[in-house]
Amino acid sequence: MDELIEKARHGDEVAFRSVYEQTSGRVYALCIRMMKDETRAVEMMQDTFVRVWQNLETYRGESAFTTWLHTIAINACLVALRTQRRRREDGMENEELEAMTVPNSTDPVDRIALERAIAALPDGARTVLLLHDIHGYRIDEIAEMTSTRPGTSKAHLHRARKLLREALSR
Amino acid sequence: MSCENVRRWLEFDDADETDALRVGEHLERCVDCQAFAAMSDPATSLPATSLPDDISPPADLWPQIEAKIQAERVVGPTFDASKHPGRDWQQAASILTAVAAIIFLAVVIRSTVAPVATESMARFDEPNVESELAAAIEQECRGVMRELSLAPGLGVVDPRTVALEAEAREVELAIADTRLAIERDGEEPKMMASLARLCRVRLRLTEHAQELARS
Amino acid sequence: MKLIRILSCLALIAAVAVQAEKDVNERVSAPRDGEVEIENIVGSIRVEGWSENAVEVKGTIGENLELRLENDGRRTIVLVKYPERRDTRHQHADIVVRLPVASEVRIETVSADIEASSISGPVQVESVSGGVELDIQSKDVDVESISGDIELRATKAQIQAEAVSGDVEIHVQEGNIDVETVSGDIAVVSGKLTGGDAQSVSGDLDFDVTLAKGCRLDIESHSGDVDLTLPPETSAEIDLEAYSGSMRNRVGALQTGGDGRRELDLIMGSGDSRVEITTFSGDIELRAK
Repeated sequence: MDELIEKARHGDEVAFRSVYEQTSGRVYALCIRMMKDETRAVEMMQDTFVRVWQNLETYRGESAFTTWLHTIAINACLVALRTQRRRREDGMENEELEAMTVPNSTDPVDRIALERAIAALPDGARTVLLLHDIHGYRIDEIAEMTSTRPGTSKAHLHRARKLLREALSR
Repeated sequence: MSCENVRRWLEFDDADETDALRVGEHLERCVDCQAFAAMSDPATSLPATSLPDDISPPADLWPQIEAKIQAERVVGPTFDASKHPGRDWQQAASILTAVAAIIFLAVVIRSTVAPVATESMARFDEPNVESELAAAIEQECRGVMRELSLAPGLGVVDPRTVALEAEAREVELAIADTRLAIERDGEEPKMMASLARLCRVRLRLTEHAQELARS
Repeated sequence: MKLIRILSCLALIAAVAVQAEKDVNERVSAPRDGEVEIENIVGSIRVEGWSENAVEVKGTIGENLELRLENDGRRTIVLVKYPERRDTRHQHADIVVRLPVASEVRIETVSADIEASSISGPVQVESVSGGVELDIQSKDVDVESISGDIELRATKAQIQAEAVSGDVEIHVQEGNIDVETVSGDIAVVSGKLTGGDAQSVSGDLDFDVTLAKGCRLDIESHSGDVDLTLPPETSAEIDLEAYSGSMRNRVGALQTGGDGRRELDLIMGSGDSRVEITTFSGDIELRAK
């Protein structure tokens, strides 16, 4: 991957495509759960990877490439959610939810209920839950990625888990 | 925030999410509330961890991204940290501000003497000097912002400048929209004035980031 | 043995006390209309004007912090000193500052929440992420924030407010406003607006105002929506321009020009004031009070 990134930094689009193929699944999982809508998730993916391409020369390798990539994706989603917050609908319509790609679910009903419950979380809580419980980032990493303090991220995570448990027990 | 309010926030559905920052600040210094949060948040049974962290995007997404990359017109020098010894950001900022001021004045002077365009003057083949200078400034600002978001000597991302970077990207989108409209419909004075304003906003975000980095 | 246990307990209490906060209660003479500069990085700052010629600071600050309250004649400084500016995780200060009502006040913070009331002198506030709430009688107000929200109530004032992502809400009975955000929303309510200049990139702008005769109001947004609510008896020329956003005239103004697609020129009454609203993709709506 390091070699591909280095080639992409020098303008190699084929290398960049390989980077995309290796990373897009995790970024899409993040975007679709953040935006709760496939069309907007696709817009965020385009926005994210175009910006990654434009800013590759500034990536210096201090953090893992995927962390840098996910930071760009998360911030793109948060800005989009904030600027559209007056127009977006709360929660997801059933049709939209079923249109989401949920691969190889052993228990489709439970998984849909879980995805629905996550989608219903407030933006801040949802962001931290996705990054921590699904994508495995640490609290301090999440705080950096979302430009908050670790305490704030912890508070969001606690609430997210509590709200999720309550939603699933109904 | 009092312990009582913090615990209420952690436990009740109707809590205001915008209070998370104050709750977090309280949690960082209150050992009792940290213990309360730990007790009521068992590490067992975390349903979200069972979800996949990898979901295949639509197959036609890569061609869309590729088309945007190829359509992206990058004009002017890209920022190369190795060519800028030391962190003389004040000099960089004053140069960028001066260039932006020149663009702004050029736009304002031009708009007061040129008649409003009444027909389409799309000039795809002719270089648009103001737009190219604006694009060059965008590239420089972007590089500077990214440099500043990395705290000196630590390789740690500064969350405050990362937040400003997100705002800057929003402004860059607006600048791109405006430039596209100018190319399509001609250099209508109000549109040019809007472009200049957005460039000034973009520069100010870089200045904010520099001030935060210095503080 | 018992003595050792007692001493151990005292040592434990002393150790815990290191993390504790301490009360502050200091006072210094100050001129009736002098300058007061207040700086506190984290926590809260509450400022209240009073009739005494003194500046008083009360509150609680972190054990390792120091309150500096000094007066050199015209200028009074209220400064909460932090040992290492970057590490404020376990340090904060909550202070209440009472000062002469006609003072010229300058407040600076990073993340402390700021509240001010009963001040009639000029006020200037700079914040990064702290929220700012002012309920004052000042004639001159200047507030700058990055992500902190700004809420301002004034009677008759010249107001300048700037935020990046923070929202700005202004209630002024009579005044001239200059407000700018990047993504923060802007809301202005005014009984008599003598002039205004409001700009945002992606924030929404909501104006519910009565225009003074001869008022010039410019509102510009890129993608944010603009709502302007006016009394039906308003007398103004109103020019709307939206590149791709929609324009709606629900105030009953007469169309005098524009193609209605990207430009709409309207007039209410005899056109004594002038309003220009420009957006790129944001929608524009004019409403009647």
